Amino acid sequence: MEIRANATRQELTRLKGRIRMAQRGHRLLKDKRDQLMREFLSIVHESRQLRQQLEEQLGVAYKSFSLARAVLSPSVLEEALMVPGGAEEIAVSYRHIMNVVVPEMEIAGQGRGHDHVNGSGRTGTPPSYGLATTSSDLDDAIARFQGILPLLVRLSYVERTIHLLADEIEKTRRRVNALEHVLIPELEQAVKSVEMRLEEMERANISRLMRIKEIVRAH
Amino acid sequence: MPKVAVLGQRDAVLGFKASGAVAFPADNPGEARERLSAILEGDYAILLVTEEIAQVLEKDLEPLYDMPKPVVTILPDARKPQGVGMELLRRRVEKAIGADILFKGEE
Repeated sequence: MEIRANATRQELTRLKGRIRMAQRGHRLLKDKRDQLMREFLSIVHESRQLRQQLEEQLGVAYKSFSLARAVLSPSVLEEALMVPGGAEEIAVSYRHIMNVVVPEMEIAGQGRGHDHVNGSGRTGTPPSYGLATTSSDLDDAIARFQGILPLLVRLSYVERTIHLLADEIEKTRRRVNALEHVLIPELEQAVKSVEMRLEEMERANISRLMRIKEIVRAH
Repeated sequence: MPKVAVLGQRDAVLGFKASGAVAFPADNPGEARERLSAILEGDYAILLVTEEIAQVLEKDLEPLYDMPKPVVTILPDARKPQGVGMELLRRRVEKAIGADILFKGEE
């Protein structure tokens, strides 16, 4: 879309002001994009490591869990796990990265059973099932799963941060490109055409004056 | 306060149940969808989904990525991880940067 402007000096000043504004915005957005990119890359790196760690640990945990399952009868296992050990509660807080609000989470402790199960039900505390009917494989498996939970919580908010940052980077990049390749060139084009028409008018005026001078002198 | 929900096949979620997450076992797509809507009604900060279910419910999970809660995280599969979570990460990197610069040449 071409920018239409009247060929006046006032319009010219206005256009030049717009170019300055656009350039300033462009510079700022570019800085924002670069900074977002830096944050993004480091966090993607972290998330990859977390995921690899998770895959390893989860594999081990599943293995020991299936070991427990092989030893115990399904009904005993179901029964052991039926008693809710108190679900962990998650505390969510928020952080700003370049004006993007990203969540941060941590395990805040257990909702129920916090006071009943000997203080807390965190790793290493007495399980909420009978020890007589279950094997130590189950204890082992559950301890492993408990160890994984903090990792999962961390991975969850890191991945969400990646998602949010990716959105923001895309938006910022579009804006930078729109300014750089569309708005600024169009404004410059408009300034050029206004300047040319002003010069043209100036020349027309001069030649008119010269002609008038000639006529006056001839008298 | 919000909690952690796990959605997946029965044998995959049992272990998490003991670790402090709320388990939602689902053995077929219909069941999984039902469980998902139950999870969305509850107060959960994190939703862990196994790869298998995540593939089945891909469309249902899509809108959740833009919602503040719950944060959806894909668990690697118990037996053979298929890299669904990694693939999602790769797609986001591609979206943000415009090119897949992180995972290039590694696979």
